[in-house]
Amino acid sequence: MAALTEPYPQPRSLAAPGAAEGALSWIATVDHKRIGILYLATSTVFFLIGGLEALLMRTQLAAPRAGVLGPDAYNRIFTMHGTTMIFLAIMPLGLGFANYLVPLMIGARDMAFPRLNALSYWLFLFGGVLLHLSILGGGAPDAGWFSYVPLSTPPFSTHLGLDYWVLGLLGSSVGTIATAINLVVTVVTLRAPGMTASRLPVFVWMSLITGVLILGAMPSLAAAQIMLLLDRRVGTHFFDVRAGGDPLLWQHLFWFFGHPEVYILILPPFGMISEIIPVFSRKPIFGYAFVVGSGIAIAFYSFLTWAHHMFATGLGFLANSFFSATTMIIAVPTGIKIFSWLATMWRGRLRFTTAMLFAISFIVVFTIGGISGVHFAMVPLDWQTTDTYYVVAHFHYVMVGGSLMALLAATYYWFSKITGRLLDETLGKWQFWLTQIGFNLTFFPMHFLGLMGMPRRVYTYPDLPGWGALNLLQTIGAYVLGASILVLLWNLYRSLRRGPAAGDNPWDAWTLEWATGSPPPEHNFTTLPPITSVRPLWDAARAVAPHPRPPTPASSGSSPPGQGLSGAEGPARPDGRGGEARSFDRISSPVLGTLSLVASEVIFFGALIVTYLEYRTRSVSGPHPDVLDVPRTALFSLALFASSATMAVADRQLGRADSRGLVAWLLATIALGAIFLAGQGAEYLRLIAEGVTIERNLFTAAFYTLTGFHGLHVTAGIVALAVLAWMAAAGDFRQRRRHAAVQSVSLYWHFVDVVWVVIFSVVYLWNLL
Amino acid sequence: MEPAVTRNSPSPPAHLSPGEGGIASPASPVVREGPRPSLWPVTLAAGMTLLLFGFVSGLLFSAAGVALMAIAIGGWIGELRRE
Repeated sequence: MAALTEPYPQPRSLAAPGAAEGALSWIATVDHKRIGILYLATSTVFFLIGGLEALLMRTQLAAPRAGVLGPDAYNRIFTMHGTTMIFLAIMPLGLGFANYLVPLMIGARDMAFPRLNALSYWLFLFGGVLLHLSILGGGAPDAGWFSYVPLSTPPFSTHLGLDYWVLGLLGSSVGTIATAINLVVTVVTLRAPGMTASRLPVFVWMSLITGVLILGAMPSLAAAQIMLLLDRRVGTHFFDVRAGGDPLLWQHLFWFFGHPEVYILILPPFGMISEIIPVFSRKPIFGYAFVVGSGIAIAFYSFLTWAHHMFATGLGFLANSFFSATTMIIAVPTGIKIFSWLATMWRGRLRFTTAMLFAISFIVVFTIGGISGVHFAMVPLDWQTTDTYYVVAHFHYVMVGGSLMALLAATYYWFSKITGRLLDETLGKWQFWLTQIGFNLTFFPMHFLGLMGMPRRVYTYPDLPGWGALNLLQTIGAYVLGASILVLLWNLYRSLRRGPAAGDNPWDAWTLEWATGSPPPEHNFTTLPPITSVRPLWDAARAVAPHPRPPTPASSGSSPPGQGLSGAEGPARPDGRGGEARSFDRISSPVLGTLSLVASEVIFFGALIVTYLEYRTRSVSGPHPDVLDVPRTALFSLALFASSATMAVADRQLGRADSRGLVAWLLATIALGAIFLAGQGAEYLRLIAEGVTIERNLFTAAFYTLTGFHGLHVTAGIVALAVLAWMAAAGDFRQRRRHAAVQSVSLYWHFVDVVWVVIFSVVYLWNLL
Repeated sequence: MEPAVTRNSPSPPAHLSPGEGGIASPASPVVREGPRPSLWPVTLAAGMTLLLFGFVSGLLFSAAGVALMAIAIGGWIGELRRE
């Protein structure tokens, strides 16, 4: 074994070699590596804030009837702790690694939309800042990270904290959805030659699946938050029981987001572990296809399990049975992954680096959290333990034990690639053992406290037998865990300043990010190796210095080279596109990005339409849907429907390179859209004049919210069409590469029209039946 | 037999220039050019955040946010047109 020497130049900074430095270069950057570093640094700061909040809570709970924090302060701190850790720390840490690594792993120059990528980061940062501004603006939110209604609505919550919570998370959610679109489009369209579906690193697969999950989950939360904000700021009654509102609607919409969110947090760590364990076992991952396939299965089932968070609300036998079954089923693909990781290590040449130790501890603690999670699939057991510390133990074993252990493993593994320096292994092992001791001391006793009946979300507790001792043990554990993070920070600081140079591939890994410099140059790669399997660097090394060929992907459970999942593969082509990418040749990045946006919009409008359907006739007093003027609305709806036809003609003019025709038909589309908006505005004015205002009852709230958001989408579409018309008049579309802009706006416009077909049917035509 | 794990492995780095990366041959051409740095994304994000902040602090902030968003989108489109 070669000794660790320093044959490589010492990296000067985190900036890519030759890249601009200075604060402005970071603010203006659109480079995925820098944006990834910004994500990682910012979410680490938020993680430290969330960790300090946890220590404050544990200090208060160290002894029965302690007086460190009062009930109000405790509520605010536990709300900020949960919100910060989930939305501003763990999720963006995963996205930060994805940002940095996915383009490198697939051999791409950057993400598909570099500017959008920068926008995503800044929205995440500013959203987090806005949330924390609540502390100055009237008090931090205090209704938990789930903000259940009616606790989060007036009169139970009258200060501005919950408003900041909604607005801060709405802003950062838009950024997260944009990141998801970018990830999906990047993986689908920018893969290097030969990087077929069956040769994608597992981390890339998990990032892709996470992107799809975000597109499906986040809009549901956004819709619920908008309703909550309207209740709080405008006086609507979406969640007001006295007006017929349904508090369970919040829970359904929240957990339709919340359960997939668990997998949004855990799938990137699954991917990280799937890269680290094989490298330090010197074996390909066991059952590549099963690891990837189980990730897809988890994503599918995660949308069918949300109501297991609501068993205690009395859903009924049928719903309980269904969600109990789906919750048990989703444990199967998760279990497959665990067995795959264990089988990968089996008879491997294990090397217990700090990264590998954290990866192994991930398997152990995540399995404990997974098993306690399956307990909640059994409805009577759930009834008994929900809202106790047993739940707190479970999700911390999943979130901290799972996500955090994997993120720490990833930090020790990829720090060398990001910075060009190695973290200190001795300090790393100190941190590892402190983390394990601290983590298990903090969270394992919570299982017992929960079974003994200690409720969660309480700022203090009576001096019942065993409670004080177990709580004190947990507080000691929390401080040990805190100390372990200090060791990590010292290690990061020390290694950044004078850590040994890492070289390009310090772990003898085989994915593409290790085929370039550490840190990589601004353009990522000078040349790319041929990609004929999931381990291109291993193949390249064998080609230079022949060794017996390692097991093929087929023998490890994946498809052999040249036989990808889609079955549409082929050799790399001179245009720089992989063989498998052929099936996407006809879809440009902007069009696929628009399709991804449309997918998330379907969920958003779906949530609003379901709300309308539930509230249409549920108001305890009038007005009712019969106040709507169906014939008049049908007339201005015709204008919108006709605009789809004019847009299609405009699209055709683009194909014929007829700029004048394109401008004319775009203007016609704008005019028809404007007629629709004018008609909608006139209807609003008539209704308001008759006293049918948004805060009157459930029907009016649901009606104005649904049709109003559709109107906003039409307005955005008209603005986009106007920009296109201006560009067309300037001759911008003579260049064929710009045609995708028209095609994307066209797709969006047709979608807006289709949504109105559904809204018009549900809101207006239904009244005629 | 599989190769031993070494930090300075003899595989890719053995035939690469340090800090350069890539594998000499056979190799595929790669795209070197990327978009130039831009201040419009951070400006647009600031505008969107101001728009949201206005809901709790006064609609003047929201109006400023919308104005900033319009400027940022205009600048962004201008950059795209120049590429």
